[in-house]
Amino acid sequence: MSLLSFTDVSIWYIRRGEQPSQAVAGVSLAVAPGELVTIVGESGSGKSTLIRSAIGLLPANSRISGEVRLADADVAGWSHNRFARYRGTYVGFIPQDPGVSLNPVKPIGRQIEDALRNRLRRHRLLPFGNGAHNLRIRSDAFRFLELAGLSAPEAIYAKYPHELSGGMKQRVLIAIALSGEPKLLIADEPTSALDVTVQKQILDHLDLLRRELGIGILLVTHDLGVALDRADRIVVMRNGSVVEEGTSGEFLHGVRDDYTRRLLDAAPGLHTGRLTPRPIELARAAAGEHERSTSEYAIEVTNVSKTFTTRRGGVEHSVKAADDVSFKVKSGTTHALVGESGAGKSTIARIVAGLTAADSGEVRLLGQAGRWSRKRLSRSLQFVYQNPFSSLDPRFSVADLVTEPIRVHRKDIGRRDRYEIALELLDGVRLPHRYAKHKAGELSGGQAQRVAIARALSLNPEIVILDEAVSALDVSVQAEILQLLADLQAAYSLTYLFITHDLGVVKLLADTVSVLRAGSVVESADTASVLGNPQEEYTKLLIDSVPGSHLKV
Amino acid sequence: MRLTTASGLDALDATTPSAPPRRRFGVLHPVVAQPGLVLAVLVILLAVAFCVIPGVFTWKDPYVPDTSAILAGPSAAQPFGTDRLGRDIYTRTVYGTVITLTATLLAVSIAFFIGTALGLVAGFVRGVVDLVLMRVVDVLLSVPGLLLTMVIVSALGYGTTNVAVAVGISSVANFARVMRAEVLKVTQADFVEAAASIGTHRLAILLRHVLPNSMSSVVALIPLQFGSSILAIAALGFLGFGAPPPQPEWGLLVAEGRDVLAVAPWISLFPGAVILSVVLASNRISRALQPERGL
Repeated sequence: MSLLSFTDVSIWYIRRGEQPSQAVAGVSLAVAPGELVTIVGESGSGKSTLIRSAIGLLPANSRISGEVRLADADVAGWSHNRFARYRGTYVGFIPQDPGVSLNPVKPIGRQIEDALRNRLRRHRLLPFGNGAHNLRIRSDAFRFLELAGLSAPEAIYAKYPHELSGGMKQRVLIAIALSGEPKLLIADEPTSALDVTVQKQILDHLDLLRRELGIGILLVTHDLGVALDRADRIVVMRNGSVVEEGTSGEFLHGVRDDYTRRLLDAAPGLHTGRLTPRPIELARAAAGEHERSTSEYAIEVTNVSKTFTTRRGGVEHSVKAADDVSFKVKSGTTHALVGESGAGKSTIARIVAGLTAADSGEVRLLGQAGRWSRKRLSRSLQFVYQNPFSSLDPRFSVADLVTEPIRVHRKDIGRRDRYEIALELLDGVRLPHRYAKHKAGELSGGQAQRVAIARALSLNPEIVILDEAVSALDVSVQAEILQLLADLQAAYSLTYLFITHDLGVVKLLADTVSVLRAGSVVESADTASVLGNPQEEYTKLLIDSVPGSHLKV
Repeated sequence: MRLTTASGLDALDATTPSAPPRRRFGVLHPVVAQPGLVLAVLVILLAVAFCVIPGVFTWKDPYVPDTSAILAGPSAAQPFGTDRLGRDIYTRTVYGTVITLTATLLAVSIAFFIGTALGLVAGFVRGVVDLVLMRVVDVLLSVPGLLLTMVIVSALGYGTTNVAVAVGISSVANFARVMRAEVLKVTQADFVEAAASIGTHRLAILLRHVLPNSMSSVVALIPLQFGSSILAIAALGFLGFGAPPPQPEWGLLVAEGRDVLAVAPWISLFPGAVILSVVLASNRISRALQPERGL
């Protein structure tokens, strides 16, 4: 007897004035008690829509057909009110983003008690609360917080969400989901917004709950590594339908479907060895012909420190974003800065790019120290942002975006010539010419990031700083962009400073790596030795936390 | 197979699940889907036509009295009735449109250009300039709008143009506020920093990146301000600050029926209804122009 089963479920979204769009097409799936099933898929695969139908949280403009069976009832198309008796008590839901899923103006304890009160209302003797009842609810709240892995519930009971870290907030959400003592937990990307070490703790804890309480878990994730590590059964979704289903053993010993094969190949955590660059048709941008520097090191950072000070309520808070950081990057190689959120990697990247001034220390670029003028600096160094949609002006066409640096630097190149250069640059990043007239907002994430890279290359720089440049992309797109970066590096002999939180990506692209923690360098050496034979405890922990890293393909 | 709504309110019939609910109205779809907006656009187009070719809509003269039909009620010959001198109210309303709408256009242009420029400078330069400009704007906002325009009209002298200038100046603050907020938001964007990092001149950043990206909210404010400017100008006309009496300005038309409201309510009522419908229509268009908030 399964806890939850989908039989031939299809879901559409209808919108005024548009054709209905199908989000889910004929999916069948079941979760048994004590089982952990993961749904893997990239953005737009319909995975979130599917699980929302099982907790009655589909928006009003959706239409559903097929059968969604919870316990003995077919709940497809039930109203919110009718759903209430299953939600919480039979099926618990852990939402995606712990940052926005808790009420910011209510203490944590209250939020759990709300859930408990709702459930206990029926069993109450009197129509109002009394001391004994309140005490019982409070002790229950403590119990569930502890169950969710928060060891000191008294300490956080009266705290507000902003006083907790992301991992703690996610545990509070788990506690709330558990408070109805459900038989089934549905988790929608519960760890995507968290650092890897925290992700590991949360997933370990979910595993423990499953074994101890015997509940079924339906976990949605975009990370095949997570699925392979944890799941009894893996379901791969694409464009609303299931393309492959099996155990993680079956997945590793040969998958039947092409798409799954590509996903497996693309998952950075499963990779070994560096990407080999493919030859690329050299598009020698007319604007960028200036001689290359001959210094051995493209970037030399020595003893750089930076402290941010904020004033809140008359009290000064200071955060050390960079603490005596030093590293060197050889010309033509890739250096990765790795660390968890708040480690100061972006600050250092911005200091190198001249976007932020350091408090002390020295940055030598191409063998030259001192202050560079903006124009001269941008001819040698370019910066690629994490989110291409915010770093590309939404009102510019792709051709204008790509050649904007040329327009600023070379007044002598006319509009028509710039367009020709733009097409060459688009060739370089393997983006078809027809996109030249599109606006950035009309592109997909991967295409927009290609545009951002083409723009960075338009002045033929020697150094490119990539600040989490692939983190917001789906794995298969991420793999393409990484390959492109490797190709471009070989073709244009670029030096990359690559900022990432993902050790899998580091393995693919970086020659050397610095591991950062709380603003200081923990370990810095070539990639193979840091990842293969870590010297520091923290590096070991990071490597150990990468999902899928223990598996052999 | 069943096909039901997710909210469970009503069940839709469909033969196969692979054929989801069809789109209903075909080519006419936008008209049927947003009838209010279409109606609003038609009202505005009609008002513009009143300005450009009033002779097509009425063959009478708005100024010539007709002693045979004094204070006549609405009828087929005089759809809005006649006033104390026997002039046709409908004809006067049609000919009055051009006076009110040009004044409104002038007022909104003044408010738009000055307000947007102030907001742009304040938001982009920041510092002392921002502080001073925004305090001036605060002062403008703290005085009730109509009172402020009356003070300005008293200083400038009576007349339609002066009324328009006064209304324009008193609504500069709205545009300046919205523009500044948008500029502040846009200058935080990565693409502005990216443009600065390749050495783009500050003025070029302002004109190429910041201005185009912060215009959408201000543009949506134009029709909204258009509606309230019509009201303000009509109100001043009603109070006698605007066009002198023989002219058929809308506010004045309403004012002329004030004394005989009990016996001939149509004199005030019909021009009032025209003002109301034009204001409502421009507000509806403003809502349609507003950029979609939230992702």
